[in-house]
Amino acid sequence: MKILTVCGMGFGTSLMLKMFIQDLLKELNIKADTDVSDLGSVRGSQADLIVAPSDMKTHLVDLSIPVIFIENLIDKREIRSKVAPVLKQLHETAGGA
Amino acid sequence: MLRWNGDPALVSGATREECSILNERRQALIRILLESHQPITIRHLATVLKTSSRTIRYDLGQINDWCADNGLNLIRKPHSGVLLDQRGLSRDDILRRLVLAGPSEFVARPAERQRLTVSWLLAGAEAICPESLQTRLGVSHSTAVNDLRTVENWLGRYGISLRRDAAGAITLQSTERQWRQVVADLVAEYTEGGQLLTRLRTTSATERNPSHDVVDESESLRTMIQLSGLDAANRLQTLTEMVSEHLGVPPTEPALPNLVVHLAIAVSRVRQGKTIPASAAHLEELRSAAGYSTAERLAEALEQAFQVRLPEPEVGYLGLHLASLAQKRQADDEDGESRVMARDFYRLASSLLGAGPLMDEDDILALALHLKPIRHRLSEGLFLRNPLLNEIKQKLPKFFEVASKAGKVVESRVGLRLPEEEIGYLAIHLGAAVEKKKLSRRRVLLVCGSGIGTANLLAASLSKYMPDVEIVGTVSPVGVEDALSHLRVDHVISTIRLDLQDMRVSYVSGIPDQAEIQLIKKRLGLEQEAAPALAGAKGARIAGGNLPVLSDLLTKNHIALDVPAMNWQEAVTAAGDVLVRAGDVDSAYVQSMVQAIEQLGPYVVVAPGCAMPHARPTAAVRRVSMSLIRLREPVRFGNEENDPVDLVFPLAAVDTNTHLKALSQLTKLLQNEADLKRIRTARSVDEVLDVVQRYSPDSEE
Repeated sequence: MKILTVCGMGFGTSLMLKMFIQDLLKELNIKADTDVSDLGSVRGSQADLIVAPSDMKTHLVDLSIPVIFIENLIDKREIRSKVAPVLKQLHETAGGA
Repeated sequence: MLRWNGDPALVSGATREECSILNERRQALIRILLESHQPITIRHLATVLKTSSRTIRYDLGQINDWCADNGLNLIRKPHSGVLLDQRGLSRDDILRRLVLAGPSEFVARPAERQRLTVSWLLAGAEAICPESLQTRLGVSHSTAVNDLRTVENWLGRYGISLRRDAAGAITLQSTERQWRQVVADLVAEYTEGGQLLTRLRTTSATERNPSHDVVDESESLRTMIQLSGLDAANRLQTLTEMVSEHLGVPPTEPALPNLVVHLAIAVSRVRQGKTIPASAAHLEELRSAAGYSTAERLAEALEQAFQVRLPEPEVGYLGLHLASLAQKRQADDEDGESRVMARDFYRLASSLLGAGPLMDEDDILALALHLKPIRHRLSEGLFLRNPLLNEIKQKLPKFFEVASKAGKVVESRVGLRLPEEEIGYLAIHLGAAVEKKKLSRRRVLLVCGSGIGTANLLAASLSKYMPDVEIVGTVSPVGVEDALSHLRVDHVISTIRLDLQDMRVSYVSGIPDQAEIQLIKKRLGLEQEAAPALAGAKGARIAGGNLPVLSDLLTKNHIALDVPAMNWQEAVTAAGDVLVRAGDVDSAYVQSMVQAIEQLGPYVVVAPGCAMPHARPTAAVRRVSMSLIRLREPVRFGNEENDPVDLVFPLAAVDTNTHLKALSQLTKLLQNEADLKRIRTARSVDEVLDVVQRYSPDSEE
C-alpha cells in the first residue's frame, strides 16, 4: 500500500502531511509506504491513496486514485477523522497483515 | 549619398527624423546594449565600435529619445557604464522596431559600396559596368571605376578575375570553389559581428509585412544571405543542430558557424547544379584525408535532410572542412586556462555534492571546450539565450544550485558574474558528468534533435533511473536508420517525433520527469524494479543527523513583529524580505513564492491564521532558511477555512531534505495553540525566541 501526499512543490506542505500520515499509520499499526509528490508529477505516480491540501481540489480532478482533501494541515484530528477510515479500509481490502 | 528604397512613409511607425537619428553605428550601439544585461562602460563601447568615447556619449544622447519613445529605459550608472532596461519588452520585438526604424538614408560608404559590387558580381544576375554602378550607387563615373579596381584587386587574392565583354559588361571569372570561398568569407564577416543571426531572426518578422520595404543596415548582407542559401527557413539553425549532433560538438563552438555556412552554400549550389569538380587523383587524396569518413556520414544526413545528392568531390571538400574544424578544436583544447577552470569547477562541485571525484578527462575536456566560448561571451558582454533554462531550474535544482556555486571559480578567474543562462549550461554538464558514472547494460538508442548536452543528459537520467539500460548510441533524427542498421537496438527513446516502423519508440522531454521515467520503464518491462526516489524524497526519512533545527533558522534577525501589510502579496513579500536582508535568498525567490500562490492557490495557509509560503529550490536560495513575521493586521489569502492570516513563515529549501527537521518542529509548534498564542501576544522578539527554543532538539520529546 502506498500513500502519496501532494502539494505544489513536493517538499513543503506535502512533507508536513506525510509526517502526520506516518504518525497515523504507526498509531493504527498499518504498514504502508509514504511518499511526497508535487502537482506536476502526481499523475505519473502510482499510489493507493492521495492526501492533499483542500486548496488543490481544482488541480486534482479526474484522477483514478482516491484523494482526501485536508483543510487544516496541522490539525491531527481532522486528518485522523478523514484519513484513518480509508486507511483501515485499504488495509482490509489488501488482505490485512 | 543615395536614397535607398528610401520612402520614409513606407517605414512603419518611424518618422523621418527617427530614421536619421538611428544611423548604423547607433543601431549597432543599441544592439550591443540589448545583448548585455550588465552595464557596459563607454570606453568599451567606443573600442568595440571603433570610435571615440565622445562620439559614444553623443550617440547615447540621441538614442535616449528613441528608447523613451519605444518604452525602453537607457540607464547610465556612474562608474559602471550604460544599461538598457528592456522594461519587459521582448528582445525580438525591440530588434524588429530597430530594423523598422533603420536608416532610410542609405549612406553607401566605400567599403559597403564595394561589398555591394562584389555581391552583385557574385550573384551574376544583372550586367555590371561602371555606368550601372553609377546609377545604382549614386556615385560619379570615376568613383565607380575606382571601386571596380579595388574590387578586382580584392577578388584577385582569391584567384578570381573580372572579364569585360565587348559591350563593357563585367562578369566574374571564377571556379566554383573560389566562388564559394568568397561567399563564405563575406558571410563570415557578418557572422563575427553577430549581424547574420540578428538579420536571420528579424527576417521572418519583416517578411510578414511585404508592404514595408524595410531598409536594412546592409543590403549586401541580404544578398549574401541569399547567395549562401541561408535565406531558406531555419537553414542556419537546422544545419547547426545537425552538425553539432553529428560531430558531438556544442552548437556554441566558435568554429562551427564557418563550417555551417560552407555547408549551406554547398547544399544550395549543388541544388542549382553547380558542383565542385575534382580529378581522379585529387579525389583519391581527398578520400584519404582525416575527416573523410565523418564527412561521408554527415553528407548522408545532409542528403536526406535537404533532398539533394552530393557528388563525391563535395564529400571530399566537406572532409577538408571537418578536418580544419577538428584542428581548431584541438587548438582550443590546448588552451590550458579553460582546462584548469573546468577541473576546478568539477572539483568544487564534487565536494559540494558530497560525492567523490565526479569527472574523468572526457568531462573536463567537454567542459573546457564549452568554457572557452562562455569566457568569450562574458568578456564581450554578450548574452546567450538558454531555451532550457526554466526546465533546468525546475528539474535539476540541485545541479543548478551547485553549478552556480562552483561557477565561482570561473567568475573569479574571469572577473565577471555568470548569468543564469550560462549557469544552466554548467548544470547540464554537471548533471551529465554525475550521472555518467552509472552507465549500464540495456540496448536503447537515444535520439535528440537539439540542445547542448541534451543527449548526454538524457542518457544520464535514463541510466540513473534505469540501471539495466544500455545506451547504445545517441544520434540525430537523420542518423536513426543508419544506427538501427548496424546496431542491435531494443528500443528507441527520442525527444522528437520519428517516423519509424518495426521499432518501439518512446518520447520524452530532454530532462524526463518521474511520470515519463515510469512510462518508459513500463514499456521496457522494467516497472517492477524499485524506483529510486527521484528528488531524494525518500531521503526525508533520514531525519535528524546534522540537519538544522528550528532555532537554527528562526534566529533573532529572522523574526519580525507587527509588520504592516495591506494584502497577502505584501505579507509574503515582507516575510520574504526578511530572508533577503539576512542574505539567505535573492529577491527572485520572494517573487517565486508569490507566483506559486498565484498559480497553485492559497494552500500554503496550513492552519488557521498561519501561512507557510515557499517555492522550489533554485539558485536564488543561498541556504536553507525560514523567517517568522507577525502581521500588524491580518490579511486574507483566499483560503476559506483558515483565513485571515497573521503569522507568516516563509520557507526556503535547498533540496527536499535539509529543511525536514526544522519543518517537523514547526509543525509541532503550529499544533500547540498555547505556544501560538504566546507568539501572537509576544511583546518582544525575545519572547518569540523563547517559544522557538522549546522546539529545539534538547526539549523535544
